[in-house]
Amino acid sequence: MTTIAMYLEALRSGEAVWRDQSAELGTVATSLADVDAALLGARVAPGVQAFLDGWGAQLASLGRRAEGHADAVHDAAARLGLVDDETAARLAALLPHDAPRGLLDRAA
Amino acid sequence: MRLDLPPHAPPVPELDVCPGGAAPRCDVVTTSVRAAGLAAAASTAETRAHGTPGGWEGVAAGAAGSALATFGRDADVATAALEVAVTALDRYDAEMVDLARRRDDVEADRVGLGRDIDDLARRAAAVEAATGGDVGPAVAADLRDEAALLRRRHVAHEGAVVALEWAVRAAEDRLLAALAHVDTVGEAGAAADDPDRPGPAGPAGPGLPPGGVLDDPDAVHAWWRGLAPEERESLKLHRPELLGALDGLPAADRDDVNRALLEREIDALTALGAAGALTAAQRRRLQNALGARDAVYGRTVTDHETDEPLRPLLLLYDAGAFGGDGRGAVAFGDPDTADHTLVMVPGFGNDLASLPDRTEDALRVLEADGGEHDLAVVTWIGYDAPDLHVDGVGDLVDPGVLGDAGAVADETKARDGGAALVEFVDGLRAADELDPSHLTMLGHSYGSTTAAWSAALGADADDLVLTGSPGAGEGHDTVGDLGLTGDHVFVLAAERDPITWLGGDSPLGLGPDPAQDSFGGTRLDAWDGRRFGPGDLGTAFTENHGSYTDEHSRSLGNVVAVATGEDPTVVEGRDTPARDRLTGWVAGITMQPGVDAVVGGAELAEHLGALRDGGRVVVGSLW
Repeated sequence: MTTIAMYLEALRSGEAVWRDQSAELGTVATSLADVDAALLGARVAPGVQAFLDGWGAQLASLGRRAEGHADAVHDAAARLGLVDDETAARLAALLPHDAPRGLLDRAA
Repeated sequence: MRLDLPPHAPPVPELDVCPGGAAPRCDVVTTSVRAAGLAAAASTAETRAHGTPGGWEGVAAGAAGSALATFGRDADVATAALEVAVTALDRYDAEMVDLARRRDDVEADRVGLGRDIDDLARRAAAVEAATGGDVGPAVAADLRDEAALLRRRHVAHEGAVVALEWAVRAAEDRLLAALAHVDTVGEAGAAADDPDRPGPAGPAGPGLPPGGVLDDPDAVHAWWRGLAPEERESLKLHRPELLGALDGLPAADRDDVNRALLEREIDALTALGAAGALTAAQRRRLQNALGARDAVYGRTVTDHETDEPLRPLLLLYDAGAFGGDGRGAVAFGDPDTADHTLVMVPGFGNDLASLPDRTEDALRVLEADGGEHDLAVVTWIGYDAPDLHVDGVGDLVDPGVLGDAGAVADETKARDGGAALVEFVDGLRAADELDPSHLTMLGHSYGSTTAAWSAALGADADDLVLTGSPGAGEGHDTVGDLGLTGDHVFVLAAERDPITWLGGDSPLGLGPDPAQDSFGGTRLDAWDGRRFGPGDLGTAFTENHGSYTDEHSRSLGNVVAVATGEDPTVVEGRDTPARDRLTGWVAGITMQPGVDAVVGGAELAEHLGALRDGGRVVVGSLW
């Protein structure tokens, strides 16, 4: 049970990391899209703008992937939690009522 | 007589970089790309720092591990592309600054040439008129020689215009070529794998100096100067928090990093705010960041050397430091090259959000100098100044809700701040590129105690100015305790500035009153301040305590004089204890209706309740 609890904690932490990255990468992608390359001069502006658009799109894509990973980790944690709860409930039913319960209380 | 004069050359076109922009260095694009690079580099590092949970095995764990590795790789590829782009953009910015100045020089030559052509034509016509057209051969030869010289200047001017156009085109081509080198994922992937990739992401390792160097500003400066531009730019993306506060780095490089951190933070927090997801701490952090932005992108003054707006340098930026107060420093003028550098240390109530208000003080100093001197002014809020964070509380608060302001009554924050200021000044010294700058530290209010502590702890400053001081710090009985002589310690103490009444043996003071003649400093002329009673205490604090850098004030003139090495106007030091002014003022309160107690200066702290008047308690918030 302890091992499963640790997995859950790690997964939740992992989900938070992915969500943070998703937010940050999405934000900088938006910021890059707002950059006015014309400030650098008419001759270089098209090339710079194309560069910024390309890598802005790449960062946005990374952000979306991070969001997808966060969702996947969230789902994995949810499934693991479900198994954990079911197992804990079965064990709890088998234990004497005054036995140390610890994590098993989660199943109550 | 016919003179073969060259034609007037057409005006030299202005560079179309930053059209309509006010800044001489149009680097907003670079800052945005650098901010994106920071995020990509952080994402790479974050991904690589997190593996799948230990012991987790099976298909799902394998998929998760693969996702991490793939994501980290893709983030690193984007980082590599942005490393190249930022390096190229930074170089382009610098080249355009130089070329814009070169264009101005060429245009000035053109104007001078046109003036000389007109002048020669006028003189030739005058000679012809005076001689009835019979110009002697000697005079004619002289005029023709002058005309020939003008023709040669015209040819040289045309050559300079062409050379300028080619130089601009070459800079543009370099930028485009650099970007084209990494404008696809495949190319950027190759750049990411390049064995010569510079900086922390490259195979050479972390790219940081050996142990111990980071604590030594001189060693930091030498290390940084030894890096290639690509290595510096890479480090800026991968170690921004470290570099932005690293004493010894050139001011322009610190500014690069801190502006990118600022932009990234504002973007992220603004996005959170738009989603309604800001916590209270994040809201305060955003407030701090916006304060820093206003200081850096807000009002500035004209650089008298270039006639362009002076570009502020963000030397320090951490919106979450000191439990949420934040810290920051902004320079107007480049302290690395200036002949004179003034570091202004604000006092009580200041945090990063108040940076724009405090930079106004710095701008007034520069305006008062009027470009007479090569002066850089730094506003430094790099310490945890005591403050109040109780909304709706003005300058009269109940002692029970003083909170952080309770620290005003002790010197811990001043002493700690003084130590931090020592390091900051050491960093300025290390980054000084020319002859050592004449460096002055100026502290106001609690900041004066901080600056005094910094001097006592060995700050490498030439001069110290203590304005509106509640005390020079416990144990600093004379200027000798600050490690300076009296002709290098200057004191501005308005007679009716109530904070300057606290030094000496007052329980609210912070060490000896530096305005005392016995302290040994040089007291400078300042407005006495207006008379005030308990009903207008807050206004008196603002006017009498907060006016040392007011426009056209005598005290501001003296600040400028000290900061630029000129002679200030000196007055006699105090010869009666500071607290006499406090007790005299308190005695005056008995004349006011509703006040039934008189306390002396030494008793004031124990008897604050006796000064209650309509629920108010007299405690200044403008130390």
